[in-house]
Amino acid sequence: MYKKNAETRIRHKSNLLSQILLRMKFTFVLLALTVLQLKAATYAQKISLSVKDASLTEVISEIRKQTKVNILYNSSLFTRLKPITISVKDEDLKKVLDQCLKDQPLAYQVLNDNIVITLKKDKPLPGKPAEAAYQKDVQVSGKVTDEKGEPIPGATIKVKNAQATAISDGSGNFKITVPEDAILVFSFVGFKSQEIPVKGRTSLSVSLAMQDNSLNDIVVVGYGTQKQKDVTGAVSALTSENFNKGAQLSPQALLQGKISGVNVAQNSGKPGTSNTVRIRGGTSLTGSNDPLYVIDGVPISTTAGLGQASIRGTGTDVFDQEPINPLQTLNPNDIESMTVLKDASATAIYGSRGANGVIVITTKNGKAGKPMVSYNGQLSVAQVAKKLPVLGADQYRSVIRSLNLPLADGGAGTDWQDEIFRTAFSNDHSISLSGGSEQTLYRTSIGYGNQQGIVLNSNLQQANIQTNITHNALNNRLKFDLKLNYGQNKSNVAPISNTVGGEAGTSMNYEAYVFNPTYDVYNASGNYNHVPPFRINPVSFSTDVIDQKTNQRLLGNLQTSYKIIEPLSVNVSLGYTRQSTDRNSYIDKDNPIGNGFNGYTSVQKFFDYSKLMETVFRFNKSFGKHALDAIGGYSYQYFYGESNRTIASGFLSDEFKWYSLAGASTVNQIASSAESNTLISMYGRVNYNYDSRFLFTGTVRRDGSSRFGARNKWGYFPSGSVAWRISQEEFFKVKAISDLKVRVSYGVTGNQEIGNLNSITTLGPSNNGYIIGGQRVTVVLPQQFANPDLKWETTSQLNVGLNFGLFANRLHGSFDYYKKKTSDLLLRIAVPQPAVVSTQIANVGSVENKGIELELGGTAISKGKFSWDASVNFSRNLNKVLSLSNDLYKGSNIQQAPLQGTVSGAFAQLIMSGYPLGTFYGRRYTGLDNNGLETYDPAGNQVLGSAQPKFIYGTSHNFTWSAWTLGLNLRGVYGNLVYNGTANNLGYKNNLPGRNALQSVISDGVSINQPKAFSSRWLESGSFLRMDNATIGYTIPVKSSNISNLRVFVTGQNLFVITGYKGLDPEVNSEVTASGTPPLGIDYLGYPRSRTYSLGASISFQ
Amino acid sequence: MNISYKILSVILLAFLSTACTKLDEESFGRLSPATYYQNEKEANSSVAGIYQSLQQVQGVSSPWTISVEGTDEFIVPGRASGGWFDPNNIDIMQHNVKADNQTIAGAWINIFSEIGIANAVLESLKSSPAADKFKVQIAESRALRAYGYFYAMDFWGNVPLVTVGKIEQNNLPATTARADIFKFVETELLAAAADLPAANTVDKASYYPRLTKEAVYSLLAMTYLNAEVYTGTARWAEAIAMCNNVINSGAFALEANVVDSFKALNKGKTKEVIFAFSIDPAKNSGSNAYILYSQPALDQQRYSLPFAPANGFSTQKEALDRYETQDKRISLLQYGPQFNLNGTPLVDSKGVQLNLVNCVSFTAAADNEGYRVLKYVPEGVTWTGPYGNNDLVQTRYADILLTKAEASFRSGNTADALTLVNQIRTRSNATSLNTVTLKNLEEERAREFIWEGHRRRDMIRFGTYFNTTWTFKTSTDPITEGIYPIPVTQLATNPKLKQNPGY
Repeated sequence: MYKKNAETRIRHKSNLLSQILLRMKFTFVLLALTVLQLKAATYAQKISLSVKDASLTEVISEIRKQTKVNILYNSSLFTRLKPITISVKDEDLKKVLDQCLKDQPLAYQVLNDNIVITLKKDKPLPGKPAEAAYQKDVQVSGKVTDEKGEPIPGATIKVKNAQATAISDGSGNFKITVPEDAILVFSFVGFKSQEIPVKGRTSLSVSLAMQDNSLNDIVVVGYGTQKQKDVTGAVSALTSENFNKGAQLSPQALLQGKISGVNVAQNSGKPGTSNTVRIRGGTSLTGSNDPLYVIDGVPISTTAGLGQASIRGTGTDVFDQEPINPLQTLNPNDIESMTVLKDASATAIYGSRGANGVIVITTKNGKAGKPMVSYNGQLSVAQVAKKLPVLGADQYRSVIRSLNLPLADGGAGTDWQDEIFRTAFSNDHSISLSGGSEQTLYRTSIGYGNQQGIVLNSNLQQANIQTNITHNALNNRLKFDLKLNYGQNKSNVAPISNTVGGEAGTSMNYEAYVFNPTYDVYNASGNYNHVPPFRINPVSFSTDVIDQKTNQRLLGNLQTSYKIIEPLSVNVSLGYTRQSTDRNSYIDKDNPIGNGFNGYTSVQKFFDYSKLMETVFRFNKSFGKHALDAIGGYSYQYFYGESNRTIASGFLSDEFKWYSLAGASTVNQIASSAESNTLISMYGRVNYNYDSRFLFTGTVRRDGSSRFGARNKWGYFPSGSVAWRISQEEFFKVKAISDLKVRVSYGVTGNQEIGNLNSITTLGPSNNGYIIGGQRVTVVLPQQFANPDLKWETTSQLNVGLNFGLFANRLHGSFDYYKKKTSDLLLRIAVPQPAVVSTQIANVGSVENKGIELELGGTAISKGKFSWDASVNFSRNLNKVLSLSNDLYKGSNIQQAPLQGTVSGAFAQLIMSGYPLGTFYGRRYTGLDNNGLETYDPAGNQVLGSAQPKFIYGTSHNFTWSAWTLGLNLRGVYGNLVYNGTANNLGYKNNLPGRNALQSVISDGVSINQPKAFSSRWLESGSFLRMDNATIGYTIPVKSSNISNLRVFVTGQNLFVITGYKGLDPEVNSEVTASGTPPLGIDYLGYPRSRTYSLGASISFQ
Repeated sequence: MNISYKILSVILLAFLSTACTKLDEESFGRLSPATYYQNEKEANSSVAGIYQSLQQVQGVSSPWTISVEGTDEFIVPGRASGGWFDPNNIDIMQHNVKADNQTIAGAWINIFSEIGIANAVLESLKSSPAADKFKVQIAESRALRAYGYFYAMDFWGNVPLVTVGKIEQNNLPATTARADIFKFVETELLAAAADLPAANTVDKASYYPRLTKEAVYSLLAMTYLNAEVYTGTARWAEAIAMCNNVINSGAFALEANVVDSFKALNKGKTKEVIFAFSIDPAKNSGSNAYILYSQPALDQQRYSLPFAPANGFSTQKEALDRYETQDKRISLLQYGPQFNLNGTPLVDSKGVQLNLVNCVSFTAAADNEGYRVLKYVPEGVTWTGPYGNNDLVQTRYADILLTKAEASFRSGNTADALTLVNQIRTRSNATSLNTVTLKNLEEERAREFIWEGHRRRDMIRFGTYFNTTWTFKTSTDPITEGIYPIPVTQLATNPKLKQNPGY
């Protein structure tokens, strides 16, 4: 039964555009416009056709092949039609259709770029009894509408188990004569059918609910697109309407909490922050765990442009060390979709770069029709979400007196956190122009934003331009697709550093916590109060330290596709990216941070470009029940990067800065470097579909990289997957289950983020010279040994998955189990001494990740004007280091997460086999002895727990009531430990009197003689539930024909966090160093998070 | 249709033909050791790198710290005001070192990477087509490598002896006995000395601070002086011979004051310094951070420093009490109430005079706890940030005199010993001795060379490292304490290494 239903359901060929359109509620305005605007273009397409006695189905299939037009029909109409004989060459579509349907009881109309075939209004179906033979027939009239009450024209009204049929007219009205006990079946493409017993009524109106079409959603995968139902790998896609709303700190935040298996954690609360994105856990110990980002087909480098500025030789960095976010220059408003490729079947097509998962980003393109101008804008206000409870002035005085310590009383009371935090205002605007004809589609946009940081003197200005043009030529055989994106961010970075280490260590937020609260900001003469030698007035950072970063990126891609001969086509893609980062820093002469430098500047420039050439041949053919889609490609990508840095000091005037380096008396450092790498690949993929029941995908990529050692230049990355859509089987008769697909995949991918020039012996100049005879001799030394065996990290992954839809897909979801093993880990292993270098990169050891992922989504309530859509995702990942050795190298453990500024030379975490990455290792705190000294488990150093969460989850809810919408996103993490390094540093009495301490020292009973120590005392549960986002929107009904959409909304971000964590925020990746992998779960002096409220509007004109 | 095919073929051909298939790495300025080293200048650029690498044996980092830290003259107390608390330091101070001590591990890396650099440079110099021009550079490299091995032998006793640039993973070196390392150091130094120029034959203005014969003799003197500790066999006669080589060269003499050897203005000019490491932070060539690390913050005011020092490294009562009050060397220590250079009290912002007292807490010391040592005086220093440009003194003539004194005494010639010790004492206005004992010799060295990196070696040689106690070292130790543990990280990297007894 089910099978039959499925076959008779209205079918249509999908493409992305039609799907998006169909998923939107059909409004009268839109309908009218599309009919008017598209008719001409659609009808004008040329057809060549020569058939004899063909069925209409066959003819339509041929027309579909030759044009981009979708033809929608209810196959139940196609009974007893006359065979078609026609022979035309380069004829207009309209004429061909007219000719084919001339003698049939059928009519057609253009609806949203689609052609819908319906019954002729006044003609009965052939074979239908001419006059109703029933007794007590009634004429029923009424109106078919959608959920919003907008009329649906062309809906089919049919008597159940009989022939009588009617079609609704342009206003949705219908008339039909039926027996009074008949049951009417109302149906229309894209909507759920409804059965209504007549029960003698003569007037009957019906509101049809939208059908969930997620099965036919198109998802962007590597090198192409697929229908969701045909996907055999673990792939999750998110389109713009489901992105997180409100002003986002970064594009990655758009998908935060939305996709199972993907953990996106902002590294800080500052504008333009970088993110730690982990897809199915971390695979690499020392290499990059970041996914590969592919923007409009161009894989981009994530390792470019790290800005750092080290001020003192004691290793202290006042300046922040965050890497540049690779997506920073993209405007979220320009992003159409983000697809996360998770298992090897999906990522193997990216070979040696796929092991950490792939995020494929597609930007928006134009839609054919009248030009449309859209504006999106929002104003936001943000405040710090939480402050640290340090001793207030009076508490400080009384604690110090009670401890008999010398009190330096400034006589005032200052909350230093209040002094450096502010209410931050931001505005963000983007305007786009889009439209096009059958031949050419375009969309261009410009965005501008100015985001203040909640810390004084930090802000981010961004501007970007995106232009996408698609042009079809040569009868749609040739297609050009040009995408251009340019973006610039200029930011003033607050000197907030999370690498504050030794005595001289300082940064703006650290000082705000430890600076003497009895001092005023300024002294009597109006200058900053400092407490030499080390305590520097927190507010002085905002005027005396400048740290500017300017980041720019140009991304261009031209794709040329040509249909050589059905079914073979070729696509040549040329991509170019150019990125630069300038970082200029200056410390005023008077500020003690520049201790001794008398004005200090650092000028850094990073620049890189990549060029990409890809040729992909595509074969796409269906024959009978078989469908084959195969690609074979060649890709060449070259990356070049260079950098230079000058540090100078001793300025005559603070005005010179980096603008005028000639004003410096000493050039402390000049350095420059250049690097490149080349990646050459051949790849192929076959998708085979049998009867929509059995699906098979096989992929292989061969990658060669200049980074690899001479003996391992090339690697193969194969994968295969099968899927079975059980719900399509004849025997499958569970009515409640509308879709059921099982998938299995296995494959091998790699991680080649090993840096350049790591496999060969090199010799180079050092920054430091040596003075001989009063002259500086440039020092040239060996830098590293050759490792001709160096290669990528290899990840093999098994994935077993299930997709299901229940109750006509009202509830749908997926479940995945995966197990992946990463071997040949790129480790910086200790080299046996004596040697020129102390460590060297080699392929050593292995790590395992396994877990489950669950995604559920659906419509919980849909009643009249009210609907509630909900989605939930859940993931659990178990990470375990299997080995740190290979045949040659024996490793037992790797220390990680240095305890900066607390206990020098010690580490919080240990990587060792049998335990997960992020295992905390140290002494277990057991309490205090009689002297107020900490006691520990006598067993000594031991495993204290893990920074890996037991599970993560997210849930989104969208409520719609008439023109109102309410969206809520909640997200959480459970079962992880976080090292509260900030409290470890600030939570001891021995900070006093030189440095302020947390209020907890008043009552914790710990003696002032207790030195700072790392133990389980400072590990806290990091579980949390956060309301990331809540948005209330209202679509203003406008009758003007020029305004097609007008929406206003209010968004609140980071509205609350439920957690037992005592620090600022349990979701942290503070230990963000300029290179290497930040350890998980270390909270140390991060830029605090904000709570943000935004008011926004979007308006579209046509 | 034909036109489109042509277009297509043109596009494809154009792009496919531009596709490069080369996967070689572009080196962009990185050189290959196989093609560099064509002339003396290029050779010098790498030999200078070995000097630079060895610099840390007198800088403020480890290994210098571990050469003084377990003794009665050096402490790094954790400060109550925050900072400096480091269990690694405390363990060394209390003779409680464990194999995972980070400070010891750092010293190992520093010393062995110097040896590794020397090995790699030597290999390249010897295989260069221009090798015959590099006689001096090869001798310098051998001597500098032997210097590194001297420290390795001194700290860890039994260490891997490697002379190739790269160790193959399947051929890891085992530990070599201390006595064999001694033999290697001795042989290499003697060979290097033969090929190096004598101090009197070089133009000091252009040659300083490269190694001369005498610099290597002074290292040999130190090696022989400690031979009994390293090999069980005393080599007093050879120690005296090496001292005589230096003395008889006539190139060296005592300066009027000890402090003269440490002044920035005197670099390359003193008669007393035999071997030093050059420092010039303004040219990004090393930095002298003694004042930054050690002095109290108020010294910024006293010496008009462009920075505030960090109040870290300190000394204690035992070291201070060794000096007579009129001994000029006591003025190199800071203790008691402090004064500005003009004699007014050195006071903080509250008007309280700084009074440096003996250190009583090593975990939470007050800022005025601990006495300070100031040999690299700020006088005449050009500051680059918080760094001075005083050259780091490695060996000076006073050491030759006291080494000869001790070796003479131990071989029965007490008269020579007395004369030499009094020569040192007289210079600093200390009372002349009438007779000399071993204890006199030990204490004279302690007074003369405080914080110059000799104290631990001396205390081990005299036995006081084990059988005496002082402020933060409260118990006596077995002799195994005289050798540091091989760091656990090294044992993991090279399983063939054998841990020293007692760890």
